[in-house]
Amino acid sequence: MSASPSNADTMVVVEDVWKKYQLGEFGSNTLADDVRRSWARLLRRGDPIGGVVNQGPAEARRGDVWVLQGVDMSINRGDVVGLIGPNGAGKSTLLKVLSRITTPTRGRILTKGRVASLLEVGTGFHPELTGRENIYLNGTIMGMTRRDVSARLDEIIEFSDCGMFIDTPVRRYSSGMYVRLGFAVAAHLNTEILAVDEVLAVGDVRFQAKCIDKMSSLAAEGTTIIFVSHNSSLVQRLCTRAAVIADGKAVMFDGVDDALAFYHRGSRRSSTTVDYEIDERPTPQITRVVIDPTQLEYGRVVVDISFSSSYPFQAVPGVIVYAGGMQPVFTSNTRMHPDRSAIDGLPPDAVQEATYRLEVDDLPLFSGAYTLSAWLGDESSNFDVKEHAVQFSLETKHTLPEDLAIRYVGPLAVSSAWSLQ
Amino acid sequence: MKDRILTRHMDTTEEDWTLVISPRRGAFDVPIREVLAYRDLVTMLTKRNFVARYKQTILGPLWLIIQPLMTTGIFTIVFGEIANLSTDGIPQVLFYLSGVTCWTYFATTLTSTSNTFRENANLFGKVYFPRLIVPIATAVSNGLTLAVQLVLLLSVAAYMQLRQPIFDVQAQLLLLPLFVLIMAAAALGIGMAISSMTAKYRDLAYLVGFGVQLLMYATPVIYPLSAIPERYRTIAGLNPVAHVIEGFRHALFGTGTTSAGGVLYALASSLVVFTIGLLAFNQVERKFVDTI
Repeated sequence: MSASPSNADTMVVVEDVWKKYQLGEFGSNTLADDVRRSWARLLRRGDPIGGVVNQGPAEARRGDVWVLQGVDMSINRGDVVGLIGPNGAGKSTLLKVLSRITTPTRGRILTKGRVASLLEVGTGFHPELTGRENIYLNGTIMGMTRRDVSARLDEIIEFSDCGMFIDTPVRRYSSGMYVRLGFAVAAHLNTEILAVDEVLAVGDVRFQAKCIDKMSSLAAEGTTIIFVSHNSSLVQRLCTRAAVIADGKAVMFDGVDDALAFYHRGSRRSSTTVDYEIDERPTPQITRVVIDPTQLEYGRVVVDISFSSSYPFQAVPGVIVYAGGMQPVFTSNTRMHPDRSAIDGLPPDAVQEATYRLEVDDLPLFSGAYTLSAWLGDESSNFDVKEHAVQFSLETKHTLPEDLAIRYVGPLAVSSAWSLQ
Repeated sequence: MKDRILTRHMDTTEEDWTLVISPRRGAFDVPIREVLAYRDLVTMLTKRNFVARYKQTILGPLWLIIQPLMTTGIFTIVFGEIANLSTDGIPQVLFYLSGVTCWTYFATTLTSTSNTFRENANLFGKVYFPRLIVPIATAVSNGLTLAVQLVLLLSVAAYMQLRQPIFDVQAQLLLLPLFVLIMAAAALGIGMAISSMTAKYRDLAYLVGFGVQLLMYATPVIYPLSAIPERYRTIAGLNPVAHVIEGFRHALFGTGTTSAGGVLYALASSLVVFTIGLLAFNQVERKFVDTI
């Protein structure tokens, strides 16, 4: 999918990034093992070193694992993007590719400005060096010049709260001091993009709060932050957007709450009914979104949106359908496509609680994976939106040739005519 | 293939971006500008190497001169007195000290460069910087050691000269920086080539340890090149370090078998080795993390 790289404020574009890891064979790395293995392969025997499956297609035999499977993402200046998802889903791998610690197997990432990554606090600290010397060492490892470090030295020391011990070797530091010093350096790198892995978990509560404040103020100054965390409340407090990474794919949300909701119902992603708790907001809220799975197989999208409100209102429900979790494809609401149940085009009566059904036939779309956001408003305002409420795979009569993908050619299937002139 | 073409078509050109992270890097695509941007890291790693080596030792940097002195002492007894090997008429202490000084630089640079990936696996897995910085810092910190040891050598030589004039210092002493460059290039080249392979095969790491020791006997460290029978001299001369050590002794003491051709050969071959090592290293550095 082309993630609109033309936007001047786009800082990071992740384009169809795939990452393969080889398992098994790399466990035993001596020349002799490889020679023996090649020999066995020649003789078509099993693997003499063992461990790896010997049957199945070549890829499985070599123990290849695709950790990232076509991740697309577009991140703007000042965004604080939370990456959430289960363990092993590929969050850290994505961060490592972005930080250039490892390379993508396919696809590419484009960035504007320098990327600093904080995958571990105090990377490269030497226990025998003093706090001050380690600030210089760590800072230069992260890409600062010594002059940069000197210019920010006082700030760093102050932020770390290690002032009294700054000329003591860090092997005498408590683990808390060590973490504070490490984060202090990273927080003063002044790069345009900062990628942070789950590193704050180690500090105490007070210091965590300080780190979050610092990241918020960095974001306010225009730093783009990408933050991996398992801690929902941390993501909610810090992030402005979030992406759910699952099974090597990413779904980007503009709202953190929706991302968390999407993540938490992750185990039943294939389910076609999603219920929402009503919160304390006084405005109307969507309570349930249902998509009919049997209709999807015939290229029809049939969606029920239920809502409830504390007062009667002229409901205008709507949907937006996305291809691949990111690219909007079409929208529909009762203002654009009036409610047929109303008699002679009269607007429906004000309701407090209702279920609207949307039916779309003959979608001119290619078969593939789509998501749908549900939306609720009235004639003049928006009340509620449930981003990517349901994820579904649509079967239409339009199927792309195998070597093309929706991400490259778009989801739209048109009827067209070619002729030699 | 089709994917690639389509991607190219649909996006703006790569010039709009400061950084493009893609699967492959061209064979000759060495990030020189980036290495220069990280030059302060060379200084900091050099400093770290020294501190790491001598903190919590009683003698500290004195070890820099104790090592060559003790080795020279042993060599003088074993190879000079017992085996009675020729020293081309140079006083034994100076002969061995000059050989050991040069050889130590070459050997330590080669050995630690060949361990670059294995020793820094943890660091490389957590943060990006041009990996070439590490071998460069190794060559620089060993260069500082070399400088100290050269001062030691020259002090011993000056002391002996005062007692009894023995030398005939040549203008070629000005070539000293060139000699150091040749050794650095050869050691880094071989070291980087090996480190690229140790990313996959650990055997090589063990081989390097005693391989370097054996190589010393093939290099005129404990004997002069002139002591080698004529017909083997060409083979011994394939080793660029042989020319460096001979040339260095010639510059200092005016004896030894050396020629401009030999030194030029040493320069050329070490630069070739360096280039090969550099290109291999440059390819492996991006993939290394996945193999540990």
